[in-house]
Amino acid sequence: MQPVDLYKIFFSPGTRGYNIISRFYYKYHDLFERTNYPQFKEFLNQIFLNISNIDFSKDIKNEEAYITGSIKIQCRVQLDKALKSRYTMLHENPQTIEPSEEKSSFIENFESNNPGPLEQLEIQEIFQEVNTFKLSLNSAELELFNNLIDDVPRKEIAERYQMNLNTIDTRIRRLRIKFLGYLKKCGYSTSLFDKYD
Amino acid sequence: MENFLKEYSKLLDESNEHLSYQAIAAYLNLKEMLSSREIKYIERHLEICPACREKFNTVLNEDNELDNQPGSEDIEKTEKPGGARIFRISNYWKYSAAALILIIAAAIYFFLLEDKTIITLNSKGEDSVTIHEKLRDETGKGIKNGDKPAAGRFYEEDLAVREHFSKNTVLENFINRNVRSETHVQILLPLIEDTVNIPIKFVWRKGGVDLFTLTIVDNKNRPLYRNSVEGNEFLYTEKLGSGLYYWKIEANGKLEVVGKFYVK
Repeated sequence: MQPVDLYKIFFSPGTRGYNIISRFYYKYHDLFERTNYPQFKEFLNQIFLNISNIDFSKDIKNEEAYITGSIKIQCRVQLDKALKSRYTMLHENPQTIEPSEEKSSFIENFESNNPGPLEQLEIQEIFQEVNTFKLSLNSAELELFNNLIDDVPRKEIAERYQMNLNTIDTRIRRLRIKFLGYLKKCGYSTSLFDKYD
Repeated sequence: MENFLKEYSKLLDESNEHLSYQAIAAYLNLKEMLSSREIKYIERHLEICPACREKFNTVLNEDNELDNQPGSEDIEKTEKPGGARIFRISNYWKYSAAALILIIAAAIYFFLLEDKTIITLNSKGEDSVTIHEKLRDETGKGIKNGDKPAAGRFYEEDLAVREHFSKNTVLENFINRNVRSETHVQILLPLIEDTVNIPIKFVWRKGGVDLFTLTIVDNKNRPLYRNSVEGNEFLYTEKLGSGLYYWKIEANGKLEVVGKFYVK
C-alpha cells in the first residue's frame, strides 16, 4: 500500500484511523498540549509517519486490523513519551507547575521498582524502539529479529528455517544495518551498540 | 546488534519495571509481532503487579471506546477536555461562512488598505501604523522585528512564519533525553521553551568538565553559531530572527545536552 493510499484510507477525516487518533488525542489533550503536540495535526502526522514505515510486502492476513492495531499502539507510544516529558519537566522545573495542574495531572505516581537515575536506556524505551522498528520488517526479517530477541542460537535458527549459516549471517548483517539506520533516524547515536560489543 | 538484543533479552527476563502503555497495547492488538520473550515478560509482570493489571484493563476498555465506529450519518463530533463536545458546522453553513470571510478580506485588502495603514475594528480613531508585512527580511533568514499587531487588528498570517516555529523531531528527542547526560551537564538558562530577547545568556551546570562547544541551530538543524566556551556560561549578542532555535552543548566531542528557546 502506498503512503498516499494509506493516508486516504486511514488518516483522512472521517476514516476509522482518523477517528481513533482524534478520540485518543482529545482524551489526553491537556497532556499532549503541554508536552509534545500542542496541535492535533502534528499528532496525526507523527503517527502517520510511523505507520507509513510498515512493510506491506509481509504476509498480513487482515490489513485493516493490522493497521488499526498499529495506530492504537502508536497512540500509546506518544502517550508514553508525553508522560515522560511531563515527568522530566516536573522534576526539572517544579515551580512551573500550577497547583491546579497536579490534581488533574496525568502523571502516574507509580513507584519504580528499579529506582535510580534515568541515565540508562530503559527497557520500555528499548521495547518501544524495537517494536516500532519491527513495523518496517517483512515476515522473514521479523521472524529472524524475534529469534534474536529470544536469544535463539544461530545454528538453531538455520535448522529451523532450513538455511545455511552463511545465509543467516548475511541476513543478520542486513538487519543490523537496517536497525542502525532506524536508530540513527530516531536521533540515537550509533555508538549505542558499541557499549554492548 | 546481537549483543544489544541479548542484553535486551536479559532485561526482559529480569526486569520488574512497570509496563508502558505501548507494551500493553502491543500485547492486546498485535501480539503476533512480539517475540516469545516479550510476551512472557508482559504476562509475568501482569501476574504480579496489580497496578499494571489495572492499566491493562484501562487500555482494553479504551481500545473498545476508541474503535466505536460512527454510524452512516457521520456525526463529526470532536471530544474536548471536560467532556464538552463541539459540533462542527454543517457543510452548507461552513461554506457560506468561508465565502463571507473571503469577501470581507478581499474588500479590506482592496479598498481599505492604503499607504500601509490598517483600519481598526473599534470606533476609535487611531494613527496609521505599519503593517506587519514582509515577514522575511532580505536575506530570507527570519522575520523582521516589526510592530506587534495590537489586539483587535487584522493581520495576515504568513505560512513562512509558522515554518520558523515548527519543531524538529530529531532534536526534540534529544531534549527529552537530556537527563541521561553521563557527565551531568545540565541546562540552567534559558529553560526549555523559554522566549528570549537578544542578548541571550546561556548557562549550564558544568558537571566536571571545563571546556565546551556551544552550537546554536535553527529548527532545520542548520548551524548559526558554533564556538568553544570555557566555563559554564556564554552571552550571545548577535541577531536572530523570530523562530524556534535549539542549542547544543558538547564536551570532549560528545553531545551532552540540547536545549530550545524561542525568539519573537
